[in-house]
Amino acid sequence: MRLAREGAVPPGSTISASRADAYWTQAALAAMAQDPLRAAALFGTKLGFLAAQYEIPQVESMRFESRFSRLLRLPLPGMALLLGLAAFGAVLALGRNDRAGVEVGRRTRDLLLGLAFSAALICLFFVTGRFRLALVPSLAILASGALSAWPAVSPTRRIVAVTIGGLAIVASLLGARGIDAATSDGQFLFRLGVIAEKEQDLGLARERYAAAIAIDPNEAKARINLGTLLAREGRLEEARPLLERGVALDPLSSLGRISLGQVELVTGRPAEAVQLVRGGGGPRSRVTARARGARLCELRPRAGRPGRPRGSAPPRTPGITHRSACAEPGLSPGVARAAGKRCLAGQCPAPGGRSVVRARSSRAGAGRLHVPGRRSGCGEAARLALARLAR
Amino acid sequence: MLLPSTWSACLAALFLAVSVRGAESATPLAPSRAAATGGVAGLLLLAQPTLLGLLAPLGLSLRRARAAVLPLLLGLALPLLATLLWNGLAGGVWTPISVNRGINLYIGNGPEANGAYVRRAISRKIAI
Repeated sequence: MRLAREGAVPPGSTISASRADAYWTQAALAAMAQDPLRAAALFGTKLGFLAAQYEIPQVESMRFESRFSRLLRLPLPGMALLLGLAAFGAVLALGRNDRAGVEVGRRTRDLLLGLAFSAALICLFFVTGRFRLALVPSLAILASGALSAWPAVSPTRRIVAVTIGGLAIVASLLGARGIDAATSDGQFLFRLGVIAEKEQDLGLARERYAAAIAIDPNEAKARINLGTLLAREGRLEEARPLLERGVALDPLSSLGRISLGQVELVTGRPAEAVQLVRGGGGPRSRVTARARGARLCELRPRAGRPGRPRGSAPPRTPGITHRSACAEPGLSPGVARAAGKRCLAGQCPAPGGRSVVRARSSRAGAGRLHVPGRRSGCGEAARLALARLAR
Repeated sequence: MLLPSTWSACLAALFLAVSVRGAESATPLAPSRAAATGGVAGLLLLAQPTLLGLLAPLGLSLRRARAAVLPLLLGLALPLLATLLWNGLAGGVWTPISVNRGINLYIGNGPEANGAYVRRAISRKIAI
């Protein structure tokens, strides 16, 4: 809802939740009115998703999560079987010719009407597996109707019911073709790439990110992570198009903006870099001061890495490490944000200062110390990015 | 913590149970039972407003039980009124259910909609 409110007004303005709601409604209606045929086709697609066997995820891939749970790996019957049995039961219940048939037929029609109305309302918005869950009880009632109706219908009606039920199963199994790969498998591979990257298996991470992009060209996170990996290896020409496309797909990605900004810096385009790292989108950008400050501070300790003789103990110099300053796990968001803002403004807290960050004696070389106020945050980042990528 | 979809599935099953039980009863629907049915329907709408369609069978069955209409509507309105007051007094938004209809409609029908959830549809528009 916060995103919705931010997106509905010019930068720096505020809007009430109800006005934001009206804004997005109008934007959606305008898009539908602009191309009614597309809107109708989209509605049909969503109906297919609603009836499909595949559970469309909203955030995380079920396939990914099932790696950690035996329960999720159980081959439970899905929507296809339920839908097929419901269609089978509904056809039988509507064709009963015994004394109770009229009443059962009326209730079946009412239930079908309710289901159709609800399905249409769901498909008016977007479809994920969770939105159709509430339709399961109605489908189960229709499916169970087959048990009582089977003896009370003609043989012809039974054949029709079996045929329609079978067609419903086939349609449900086929209904999610394409969306499976697009929404789940790409994300699945992306997550595996993240794990490989955290385990420092960068070759495998690159492979998985590339596989994710091959499945879903719009997988922005995979593009950004792969581009960042390549940029860190100095392969800037390969990294740039990946990062540019990733940022275009997800303009709010702080990692994408910062990585692309660094590439811009080292290729001699500081103005573009500053715009990207500072957020580009103005006050509405979600590139937080914390993220920017953390990234700028992250670069600082690496700048002075060469110079210490192998085996010699680094001097214990009071200093602010990246972790203590901006991104230490457990550091409260408020403190980290404040630190990030200072870093961004070139005002990293002085060593020993305790007001904003935890100062501590760190094993930092003299070259690692950041001298507050000497450079702006982005100028400092430029110098350090160059040093880093030149290694 | 229970997700809204869990609530909505349970409430849908409960609503079907109480409405079918009422429809099967030989006697006219008692006011208390009608109010309870309406209350469950109101909670169902709070959990997932798009399930409004499931109330259609209930509406049709009321053709034969006009005396039950008023208590049923009162039961239906009670949960919605409670959330209307809560949203208005605590959040300043006078709406009974939620204010995410517009954004969901945009995600589902905007220029980048593909039928499923598309996060970048919002983020791209914000960044423009």
